[in-house]
Amino acid sequence: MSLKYYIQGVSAISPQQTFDRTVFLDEPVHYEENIIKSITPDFKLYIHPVPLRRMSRIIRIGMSAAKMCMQDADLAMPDGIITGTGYGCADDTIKFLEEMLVNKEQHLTPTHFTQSTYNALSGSIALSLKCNNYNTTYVHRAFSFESGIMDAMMQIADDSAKRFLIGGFDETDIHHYTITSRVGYYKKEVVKNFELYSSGTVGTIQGEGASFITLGASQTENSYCTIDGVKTAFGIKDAEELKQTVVKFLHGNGISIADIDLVISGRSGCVVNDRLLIEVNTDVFADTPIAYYKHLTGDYSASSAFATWLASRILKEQKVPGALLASKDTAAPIKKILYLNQYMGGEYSMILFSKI
Amino acid sequence: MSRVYITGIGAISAIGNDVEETFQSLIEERSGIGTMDYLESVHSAIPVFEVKLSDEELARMAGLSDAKGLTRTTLLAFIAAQQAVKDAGMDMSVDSGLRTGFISATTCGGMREFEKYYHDLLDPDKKGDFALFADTLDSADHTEKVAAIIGVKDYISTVSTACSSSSNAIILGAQLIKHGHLDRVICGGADSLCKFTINGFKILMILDSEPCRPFDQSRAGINLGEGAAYIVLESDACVKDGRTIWGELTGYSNTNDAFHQTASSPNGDGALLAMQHAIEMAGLSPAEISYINAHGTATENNDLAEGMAIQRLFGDEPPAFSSTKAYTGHTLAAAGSLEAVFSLLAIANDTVYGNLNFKKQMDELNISPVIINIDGDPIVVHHVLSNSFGFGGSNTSLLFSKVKDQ
Amino acid sequence: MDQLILELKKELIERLNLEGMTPEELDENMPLFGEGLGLDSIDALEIIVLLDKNYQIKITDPKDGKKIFYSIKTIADYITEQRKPVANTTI
Repeated sequence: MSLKYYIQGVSAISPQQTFDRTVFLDEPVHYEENIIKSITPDFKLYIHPVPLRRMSRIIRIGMSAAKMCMQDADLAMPDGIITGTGYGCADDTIKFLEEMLVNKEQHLTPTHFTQSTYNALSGSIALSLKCNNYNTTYVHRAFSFESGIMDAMMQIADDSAKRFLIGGFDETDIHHYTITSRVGYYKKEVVKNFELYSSGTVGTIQGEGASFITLGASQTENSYCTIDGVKTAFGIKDAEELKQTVVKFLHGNGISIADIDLVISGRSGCVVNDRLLIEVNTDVFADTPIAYYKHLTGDYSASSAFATWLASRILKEQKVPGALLASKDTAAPIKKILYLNQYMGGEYSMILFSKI
Repeated sequence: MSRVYITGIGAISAIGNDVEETFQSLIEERSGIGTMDYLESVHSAIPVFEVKLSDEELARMAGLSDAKGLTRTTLLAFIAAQQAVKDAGMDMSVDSGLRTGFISATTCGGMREFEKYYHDLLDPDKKGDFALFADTLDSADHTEKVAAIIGVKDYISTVSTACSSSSNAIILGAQLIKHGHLDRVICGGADSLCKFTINGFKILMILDSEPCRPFDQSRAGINLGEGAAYIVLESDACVKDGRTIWGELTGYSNTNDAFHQTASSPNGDGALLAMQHAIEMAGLSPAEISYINAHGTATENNDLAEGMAIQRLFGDEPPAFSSTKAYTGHTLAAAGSLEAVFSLLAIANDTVYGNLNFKKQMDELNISPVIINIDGDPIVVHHVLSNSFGFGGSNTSLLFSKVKDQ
Repeated sequence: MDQLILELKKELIERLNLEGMTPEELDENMPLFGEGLGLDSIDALEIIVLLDKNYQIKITDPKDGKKIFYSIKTIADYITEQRKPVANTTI
């Protein structure tokens, strides 16, 4: 019997009401702005007041999501804490930078600098738990969370008793939005989030959030699904190459296209960057229902962590929320979900999930 | 499970533009400290460890005809990675059938250019070549650009755990080989000097305005440096007869101090665990370690924690240990892989490096670093422990071993 | 002096992000670090920046901060003391 990787707990804080477990995107929030921010819980429920005082907004969000996930998985002490992020603690980074430029390198705020480091969240989680175990942070755009899953899966294969807390986080940032709009990351016109895919223009909307999972080799009572495989692909030239990569990935996991019950697509609403994804969706998955999520959360580097939360809940609850705008109904039972993402036309990644 | 061998090394820092120059500086005990010549800052009086080449000169050295939009971090990374690839005899222009990865680390990515052009970038009406730096603050930028030029496609990733970053990149690479996901992987890290880090460490009051003095009673903080270093890890199957092998990665461990956001625990708990686990993984005992290339940043806190950890693990007569930070400065994300290169050179040449600027043993410790180079007959370097610690409580130890018949 | 203490309390609440605290709730004799308010080494650095920025007082060795930053009162005393020589020269 080969090893399985169970998602034993999940959490998500996002621009939708996702930290309340009793709902599942039942009443999605509609936005009409290109930068959408998280709906946040009462941080005091998850973070001790002393450290809370100095934590930035995204660290608070990330810490709360981490604690929620551990509660969900009934995990007190992870054997490793792994985070993935694109721009890390963007707000503190920009604050320190602006202060430095405006004040001519004088009278700067130490806290902004210490919190600007990418591993500030993984370190803060370890600190709050007094956890001396493995701790790392991946910062490779839309491969960040995927790198974390890969890392944890290998360590679980080394020692199947180990359980990992893995999360993805990113925060919106107006400066970054403005600057990268130069290279077509974001839409010039304001769009309604529920009209993202019909906009027909270049760029997407900026979002944020933090989602965590607990991954381990044992099936706990609460377990949601299994992660069967993860693949990142860089330098994809055309749709044909992406198709081959997807098919090879599925075959490598001993399944074929027809075995996929639902595709969660990382379509972003950008006519240029979505091109290969759409082609693969129509050619390869012509008969498969395809669901979307970036209109709910906006796009950001670590959004695959949110997609993982989504896949986990769909497989456990056997329900595809209407808010995902799926192309067609998914026939029961939903056994296998393929997550297929693109980020800014550069990184492509896929994660395969199975029902328990 | 495959073993993990190192078949190629590359480095650029204030003490050398390649491995040969670097090793010469180390054995001649030459520090790369100097004035701030290539970075504009109001704190220009602070000594730094610069690579004494302009961006244009770096691009020429890298053999790149068009380096527009490439940050200094990317240029440094490419130069060092290219050296490592060449040293390993990898020919990326032919399809070898081997799955190759590139895993890099950085703490600041393209901050140097981002801080320079920040206000221009924010103004949508301003045009120019600077606009090519729009998304270079992103840590993945340098990794993807270097991977694309070298021709690595099978696996890429980027790590950032402050000053232990590139050691953790090496750990991920080793795991991918052990688990059969890759046949070979280029791992390391890069950081260029920027105002952001100079001001950051200055405001934390751990930047010394004098040459840094690791493990010395009078130590008063770090000096910042820049550079890049990469090592090529390969599996059993790749390492056939006649290939040059620098050593084997026999142990590694990543632990967390869980003590404070920026400070190490005074007893060095996390550091002790990291060293212990790395030695256990290699199936060795502490007595078998020949040399420890310490993190030794020369901050009051790090050297106390690390010194205590060494003393707790090895007793009052530890193996030769030293910090090479007074040679290279603290190169942040490059430090782990740069010191991995030093460790492999120590193994290949049976030498250990004297800890520059050490005069007086720390009051709290009963141990002192080696102060002059020891090489040749008196010492055979079998196993080197290389430590890298960082903010967020990150503690990583790598253990490199001499390969029999090496 | 009382004016300086009130000013310091307001500045500390803002700079150290002492959420929800009012100047009245901050006792100027309460230890700032350890068992008292529970500040740590990064807060000490923030106070050093505050003194430099708002009072032009430079503390170059963080260790000097230990005594000076014992409480809000001791910080106010230190500021007053540092201001004296300037006052003397103008008399």
